[in-house]
Amino acid sequence: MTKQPEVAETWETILSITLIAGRALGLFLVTTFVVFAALYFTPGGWGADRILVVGGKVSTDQCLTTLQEAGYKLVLTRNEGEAKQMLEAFHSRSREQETEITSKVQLVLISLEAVGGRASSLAAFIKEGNLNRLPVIFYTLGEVKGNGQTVESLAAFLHAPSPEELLAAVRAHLLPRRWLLSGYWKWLVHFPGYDVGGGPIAEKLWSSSIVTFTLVSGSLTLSLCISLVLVISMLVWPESRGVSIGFYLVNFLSGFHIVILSLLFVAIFGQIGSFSFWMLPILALGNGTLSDYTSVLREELRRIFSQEYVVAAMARGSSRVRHGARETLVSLINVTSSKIPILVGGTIVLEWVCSYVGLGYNIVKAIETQPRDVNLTMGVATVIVGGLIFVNFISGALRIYLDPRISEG
Amino acid sequence: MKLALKGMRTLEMGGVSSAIKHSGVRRSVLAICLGLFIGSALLSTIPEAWGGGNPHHRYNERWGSISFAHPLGTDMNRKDVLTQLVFGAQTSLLMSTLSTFVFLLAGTVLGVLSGYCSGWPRNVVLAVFQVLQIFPILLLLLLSMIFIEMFFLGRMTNWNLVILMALFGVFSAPKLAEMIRGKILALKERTFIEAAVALGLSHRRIIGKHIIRSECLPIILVQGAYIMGQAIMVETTLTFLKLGVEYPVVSWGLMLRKMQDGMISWGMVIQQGFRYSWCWLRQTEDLNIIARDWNMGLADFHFQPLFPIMSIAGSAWLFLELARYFNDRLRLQDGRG
Repeated sequence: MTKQPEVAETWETILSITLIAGRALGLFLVTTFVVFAALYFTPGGWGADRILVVGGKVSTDQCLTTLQEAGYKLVLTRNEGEAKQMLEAFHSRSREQETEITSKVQLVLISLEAVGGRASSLAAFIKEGNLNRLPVIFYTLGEVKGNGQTVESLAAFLHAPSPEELLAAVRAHLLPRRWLLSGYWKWLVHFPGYDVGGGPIAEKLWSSSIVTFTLVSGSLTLSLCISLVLVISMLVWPESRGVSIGFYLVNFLSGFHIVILSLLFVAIFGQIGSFSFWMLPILALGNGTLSDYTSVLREELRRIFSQEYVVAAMARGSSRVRHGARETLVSLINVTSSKIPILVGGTIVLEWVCSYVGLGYNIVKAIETQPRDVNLTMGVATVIVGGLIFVNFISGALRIYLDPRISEG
Repeated sequence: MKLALKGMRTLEMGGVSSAIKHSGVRRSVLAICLGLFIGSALLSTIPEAWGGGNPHHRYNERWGSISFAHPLGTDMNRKDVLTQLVFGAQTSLLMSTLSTFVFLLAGTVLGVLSGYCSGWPRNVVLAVFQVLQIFPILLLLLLSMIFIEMFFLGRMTNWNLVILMALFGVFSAPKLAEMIRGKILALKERTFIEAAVALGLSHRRIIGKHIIRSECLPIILVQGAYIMGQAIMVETTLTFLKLGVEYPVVSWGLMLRKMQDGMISWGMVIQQGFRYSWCWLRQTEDLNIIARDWNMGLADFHFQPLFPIMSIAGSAWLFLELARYFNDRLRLQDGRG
């Protein structure tokens, strides 16, 4: 008699949790696909189909054949004069049909040996044509001879990799032109790939997500502790002046925005670039997490403790905390799940202001860097978006588990 | 009403709780500050000494102190701080008005769609709300930079902020829409709407006159004032993250970004000051050396970054307070006091 409905309830719970999981997965795929599509159509993005290789010596042969085998379309020349001609033709074409060229070319590789002493003129060349929207990798396979100054002027974008590194960099930076859907599938399989410098993005993503996770979870824990202490002391000493001053302080400090608070933090402590305890209260106050927790806890506890079943439980001599705990937990989960996105938004600002390298710092860096590093942008965006969707899923599942009356579908 | 008040809880973030009514003094302070803000945004023709003129004119002194010619001093680029603040107020007001307008329009339309209509429009709008709740608005704005680049084949300096602010209005619209939806759902049960339907009034008239104008206007006012303050902060943040306006345009966020280096020494001064007072109390170390260090720190100290910070925080507070004032009026009218 009692067993039958319990089994049915468990099945219902599992079914609805699976439904939310499926919805979360679908949302993740759709969101990442939308971002991917935007990056596909941007100039220099995945939709572009050609690489221009100018210059290069015998030792690049291996590199080039591997690239061709991998399916890249190459336009290449060995001769210095020919390279120059090619660039000029390229230049004139790009002046005529600016948009078409920039959306077709993914990357320009220029060997410094081919350029020789005319590095500065080449830099001007690249700036005049619309090439500065594209990533340009300069590489050298030997010693660069030429005017030292002009080479130094290029040093800002100068990489000098070995053939293997060069190959890795090229392979990392580009996918050969594909149709949108197959490109998306390829990206999904090879996630997260490599950045422009040829380094793996995975390590970067891992370390920075640990940073952001620490900040978000730390400030959530801190605000939970402070608000619990405040609310419990309010219940114990309802007429106390100190408790009401505490509430007032929390509300007053929460009126300041995270930008203002983090700037003042930097002004007082200087640039630190690593973890500091004071980041947690700044996040908790600047995003209004603390004040929301206190107000929600206060109202919910008042409401729950005045409910009839809790009063009845008290009258029978049972603890009211035990009976009210589950309902309080549900409302706490509601607040937390609605606050985590705002906290992540706050970490973007805080990390940028403190130059503390987390996910937020990386995504601002990736978005504002021009020319765009497509893989890095996509990787960081995916981690943040995926993390937020995962948090949403977990909180939904917990809510269903704790309160079976809510059914999501 | 209950739903509207539930949403208002977010307004009780700073200051005294809204149960305290606005006194006459408080109201007049609010009015004066609002007048100052809006007035300063309209002032670009007044005399040069008081904030008119060219904000990019370079004067003689770097980090100049307060004088009659420069009431708030000059910054590290030898530009007058007050002039820049006035021009920055213009940018802030323009951008926040734009996003508030978009917010009100989108919020009202979506709210009516999800509350009054049934079938697929309602379901689509509700699904979009659910998705938007998952992501922070700042992240959505950052990602929409990629879309802006896709459409315009590159980044447009200064104009992308206009698009981003309009998008901010759209992304924050669900909040207003949810409130209007709740209001409409509650009103649907009331007899006067039934009577209006029975009398054969058109949907447009019922929505426009009987629902929006007579019942939802207070909510719209409060939320509009609230989002105006938020928009000022968002504009500052975007400019600070190098995604907003650049050199020829003056903005408070840009001022903050430029003056950030001038703020670093504040911490030095404060720390040295603590050390000085501690040693003075304990009489332990050679006070002359510490006093010399403190003076050296004071030489690097610049007070000018305080002004953009104060004006940003102050204007955001201003609109928060305005929203709270509207909210109190609304509750008083409703007889809840």
